[in-house]
Amino acid sequence: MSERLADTAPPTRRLPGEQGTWVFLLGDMLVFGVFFATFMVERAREPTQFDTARRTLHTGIGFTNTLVLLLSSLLVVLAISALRHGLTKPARACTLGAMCCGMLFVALKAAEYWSMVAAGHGAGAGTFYLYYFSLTGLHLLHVVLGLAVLAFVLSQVRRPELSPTRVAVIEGAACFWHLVDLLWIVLFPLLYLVS
Amino acid sequence: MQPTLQRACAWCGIGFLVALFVMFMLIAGLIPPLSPTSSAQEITQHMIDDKLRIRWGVALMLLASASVVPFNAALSLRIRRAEGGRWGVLSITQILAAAALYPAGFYTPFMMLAAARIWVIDSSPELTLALDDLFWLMLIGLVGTLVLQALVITIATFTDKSPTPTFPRWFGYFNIWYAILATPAALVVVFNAGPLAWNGVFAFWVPLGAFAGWYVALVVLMLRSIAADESDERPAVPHV
Repeated sequence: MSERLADTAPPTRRLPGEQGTWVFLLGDMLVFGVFFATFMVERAREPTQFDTARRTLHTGIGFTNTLVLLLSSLLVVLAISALRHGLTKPARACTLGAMCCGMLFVALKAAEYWSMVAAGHGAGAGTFYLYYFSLTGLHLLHVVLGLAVLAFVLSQVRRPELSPTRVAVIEGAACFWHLVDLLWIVLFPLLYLVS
Repeated sequence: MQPTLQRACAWCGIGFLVALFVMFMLIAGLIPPLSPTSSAQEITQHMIDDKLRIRWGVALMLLASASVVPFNAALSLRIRRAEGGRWGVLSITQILAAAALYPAGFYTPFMMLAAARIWVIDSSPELTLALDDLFWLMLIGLVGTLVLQALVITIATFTDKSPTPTFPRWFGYFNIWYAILATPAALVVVFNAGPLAWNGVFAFWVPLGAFAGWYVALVVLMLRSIAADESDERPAVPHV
């Protein structure tokens, strides 16, 4: 495995994962782009109401979650890099770490939802909250799927030998987790910060 | 004969999309949908204003939506091929999902809309509203079987051991994409306003666009696979 990657002496540009993975990743980004645009159109209709509602969000939790996801992405990068060098144990540890981060994100998000509903800011409280819950809910669905994908990576890391197809699938799985991170990095300022 | 029949069945998928566009959207004028928060009077007024359009659009759509049946027959055979040429869990799940979709997802809701029009004559706005609600909830909210079909195709694509796979691997990822996008439509039961209502961007427009793209891609790849089968068989089996 390490030999195969070491002999890329002329720096050829290689797409990580299978080509097919990018059909999914780019398609998903496109649709989230549509979702973000829809939100901005709605916000332009009632800017003051959206801004008032925005201020009731827990920016602290949102920011913590951003850091948690960034850390998890870093761990996934380290896991893939360890895997490429045939270091099974660190790869396993990093993948597990990334999964823990993902679960922490879900837990924080659940706590945030809980406190918002308790404070009377549920999805029925106004257009902003409706979008807030829809967008973060769809993202949360991605996080949960991402956790399943990372669990798959964990099951593959244990294998002594990995075929090129399997390596490509694992890379694709890692790219999906980065997408989950990327979407949140757009979503966080869009919902919590931009006034 | 078989490949020609299969090809015709695959084309029914495009036929269904065209019917949806012409009869449902252009004739009946049901796209974009009215808001779920519309009052009984608004719905009734809409039914009276567009009486003939809705009547004809629904009648034609009731007939034309049957084209999903042969389409799904051809799709089931493709999935059977991906499963190694025998009936397995995937192809049978596909058959059952498709069989559930037609009566529950199209036939019943369209009949409800037809009935909604009759209640207008009896001047009962509340019943019209209830039937119209049921129509949209069933048409858009019954998305589980479609998600299931997409997942079946995903698994069939990734586990296909044939030297000439039925579907290219990218199509497996494409189906995951569709499955994720179609899922929010199930939430029309929960929300009656905003992006997840049955006239919202997340629950209606994006799933509808993705559905059309999914069907077109399915038809193209099914036709390609049928043609590949045909050319494989020709030299091996000399027909008399």
